[in-house]
Amino acid sequence: MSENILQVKNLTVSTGTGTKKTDIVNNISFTIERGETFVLLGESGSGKSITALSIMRLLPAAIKISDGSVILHTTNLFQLPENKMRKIRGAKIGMIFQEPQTSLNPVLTAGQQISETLRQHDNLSKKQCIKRSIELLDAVGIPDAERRINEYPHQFSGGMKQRIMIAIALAGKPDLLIADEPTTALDVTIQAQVLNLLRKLQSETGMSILFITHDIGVASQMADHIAVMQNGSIVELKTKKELFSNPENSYTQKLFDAIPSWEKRTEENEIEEIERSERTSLLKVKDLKVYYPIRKGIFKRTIGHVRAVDSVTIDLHAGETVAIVGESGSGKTTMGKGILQLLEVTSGDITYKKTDLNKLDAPSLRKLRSDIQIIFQDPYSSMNPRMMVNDIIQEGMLAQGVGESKKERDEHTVKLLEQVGLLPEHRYRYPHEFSGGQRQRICIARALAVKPKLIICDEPTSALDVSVQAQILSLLKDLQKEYQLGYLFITHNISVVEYIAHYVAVMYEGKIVEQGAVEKILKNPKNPYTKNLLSAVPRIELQSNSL
Amino acid sequence: MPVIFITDFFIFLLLFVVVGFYFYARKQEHLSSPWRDVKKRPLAMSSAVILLFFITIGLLDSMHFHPNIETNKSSQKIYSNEILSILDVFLSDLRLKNEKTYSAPLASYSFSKEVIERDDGTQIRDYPRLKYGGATLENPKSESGADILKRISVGFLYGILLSVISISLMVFILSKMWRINYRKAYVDCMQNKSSTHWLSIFITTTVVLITACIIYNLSQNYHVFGTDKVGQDVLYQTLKSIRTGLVIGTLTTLVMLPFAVVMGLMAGYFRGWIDDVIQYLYTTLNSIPGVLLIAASILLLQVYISNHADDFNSIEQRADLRLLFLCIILGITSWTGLCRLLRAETLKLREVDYVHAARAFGVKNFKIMFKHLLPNVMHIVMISIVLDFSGLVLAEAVLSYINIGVDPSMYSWGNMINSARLEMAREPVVWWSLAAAFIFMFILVLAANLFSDAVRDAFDPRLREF
Repeated sequence: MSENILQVKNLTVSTGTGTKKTDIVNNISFTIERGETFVLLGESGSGKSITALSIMRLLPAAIKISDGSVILHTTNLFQLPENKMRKIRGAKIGMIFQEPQTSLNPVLTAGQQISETLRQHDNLSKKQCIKRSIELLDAVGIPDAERRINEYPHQFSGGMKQRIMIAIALAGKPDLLIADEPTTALDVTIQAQVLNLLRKLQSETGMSILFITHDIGVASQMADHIAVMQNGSIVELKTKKELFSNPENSYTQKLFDAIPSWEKRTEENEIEEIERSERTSLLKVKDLKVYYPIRKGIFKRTIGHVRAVDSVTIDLHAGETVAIVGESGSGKTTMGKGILQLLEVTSGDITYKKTDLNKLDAPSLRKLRSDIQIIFQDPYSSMNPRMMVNDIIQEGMLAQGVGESKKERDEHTVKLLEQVGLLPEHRYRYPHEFSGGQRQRICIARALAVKPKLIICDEPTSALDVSVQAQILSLLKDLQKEYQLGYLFITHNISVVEYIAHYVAVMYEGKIVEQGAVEKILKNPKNPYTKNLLSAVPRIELQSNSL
Repeated sequence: MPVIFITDFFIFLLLFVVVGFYFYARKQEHLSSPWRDVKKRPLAMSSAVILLFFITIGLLDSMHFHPNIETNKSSQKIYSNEILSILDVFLSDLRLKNEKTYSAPLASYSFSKEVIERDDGTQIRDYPRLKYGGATLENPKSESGADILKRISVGFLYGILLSVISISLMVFILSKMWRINYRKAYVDCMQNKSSTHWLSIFITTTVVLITACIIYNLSQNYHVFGTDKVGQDVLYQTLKSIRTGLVIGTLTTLVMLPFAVVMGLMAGYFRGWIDDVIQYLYTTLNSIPGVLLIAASILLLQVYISNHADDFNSIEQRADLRLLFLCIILGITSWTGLCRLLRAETLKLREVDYVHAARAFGVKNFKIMFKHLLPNVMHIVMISIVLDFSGLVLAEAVLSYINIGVDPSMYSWGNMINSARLEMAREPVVWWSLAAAFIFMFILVLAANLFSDAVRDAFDPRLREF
């Protein structure tokens, strides 16, 4: 019979007092057994991280635990004095965070940061500390640990930093590891490695993991039990198998339905495929190169180049979506901005409807700008916080001379807002009064305002929750049908590609390693990198492959 | 016959611009809604009343004229050579009641002993009676305490009366504007049901009026802040200094702002050689000691004035030109700090998505700078204006110390503090010049700081509460 490591009973966490009191986490209970992985699944704002922080008693001052108890083995953590609690943190419960860049102290070496936890909990000599740190780094799969122990965080890559974080969390040999979105900031291939590592470590040490994620794919790979959270409550708590085969709660069902995939695309009755050659060609990119010089010495001589984009060739026709897939740093965004002439291109031809954008002078380029627009990744920084929605949408119209009079422009703005599913009265609000999904809709309306033919979508959904992502993607699809828009869709999310793209180009280190029709590439990849990338994507697995 | 000094011209220009901006902003929703937010804040409204009080004094002191001495029968007017301001007319009591030398606040006797000839011809060395301070009293030593108390309470009553009248008047005007009856308007104001925090305005007005009435009533028979070395009333001096302080604080910023904003934005946005040139300019300017530059320019101006003595009709005009020149030169030496801050912030902002989006729309560079970048660095501009305002008022004092500040004939807190340097060394100490300058400066700078804090909070969307 398995033994309970952690019991959370009727936990309620709230902010504010009196009438302003709101519950962030509302009366949740769950139990984690030894050696199992318990997943808290939910969208942003559902109270997952707050739950984790309340278990550690690390809540920010404004948020208070108002009811319930957390029992580790047999001790109620909420009744411990702070000095005893400090001994629990790290030794009994370890924690890893989402952003490895900011969770490590940049001025301490990897070894120093691991030893800090070691010395806190075990009475080790300096030598033993170093020895144990090396063992830990070895265990989390950092090659050449003896040398790298003295390196600083900036010398490690993102995935490596997350491994160091895991090593620190494991230093106290905890019974329970809380992993708060540990792979969200990482690329899929790295994510797969980190997830594998966690599973391996779990089987070796027999610790339990409380795994917090918003990614259903990751949840299905890791979990034994899954609790689905919505607005601070657990709406469904089941074993993985039961949950995926038989989701009962309407929210869970909605969440599962929102995952974009191949199947959904076919369900939606794709528009009749026209042969590619019959469509009008919009954009031809040939041998595009964006190099950044590396300068050294007092005379700043160029001693080499960073090849951000290296000989990229792409074709795009009206009414189709070409997806650019790649991991961070592969040059996707740089390419998008290069095509838009927002940054200087080293060489290559960018032909838009027979005009070479590279060779245009500033005034003619300015005229052409209404045809090519861009939607950005982060809906929070892509709008001027000091302008009203009305001004934001009309800015492009004014610059491009769309609409004769103010009245005409206003009418057009109202039409656009309705088209992207917002209300006309939203015109007189500021961006910060909207949610992420609504903001992305405004950005789409802004891009559409100048009647473009081609839109570069730079990860337009990666900052959004799954359910919102689904809405935005279907909006983009509808608009494509209506206006025969061409999309250059930059993304790292394979399931989005499956759903929206007609053609796909896989980018790796500035080069396109493989491109072609989406079905061909995704179902039958030729290039080893593409194969690797596709196999790393966490898929929902109904058959549990527990170790 | 009215006289317009150059700084008067600029002050009224500034006033005109502010009033114009008010009417423009009223129509623009995005500009007027933050101001509505400011109006809801009690602290901001209290500071606004105090600032308004200072500004009114400053404006009254900026309307100059040659007084009319006598009118002949042939309707030919003869004007005095002296230049007075409207404020001087209001304060003629204070202006003309000069003592011989130092006297302490509210004193009836002089501060230093003198040889006095008695009625019987004998001479003694004692503190002489003041000419005006406590002049109505028979025996100041025993009576002055009661007299002062009486004057304070009478002043207090007048203050209450005056504030009741003025508040009633305000409520009356409001009730007409809102088209509701007087009683309801009164209740609305007192319970803060309207969009403006009227209660705090009324309270501050009451406090200001009571203080003013008490001081006025006392000044009828005493020197409230004492007199200085040549027997001039210190209260008069410090009231006259308000204009100098306001001019230095606002005109300098006005001179500095266009340089700092345009150059800072350009350097950050365009980068490349434009950035290099601007950086070169301000590093060079920064490496020259500011005091040296100011001293050189002021000396230059003095030489110019003495060579062209005919162009200047009066000492006042000369002093005024020097004040303007000081503002300009202070502005030129102080824009670099703000420029540097703005350049750094712009460097950060130019890579933000909304600037990229604007560029993708083909929006022109200068439009991007003034529509996207400027509003987003405005909070930095506002903070530095406020910090500079107090800094400049203080800088004026430092410059007066080495005699390159405002003209010594001009009333300024700097000159008062400068003269206090010697007074502080006396035994017993003459503290009132310094104290008066300090109190007025403190109130002005504090009110300005509090008010602009509220403005910044209201204009920064990230801090706005909903």
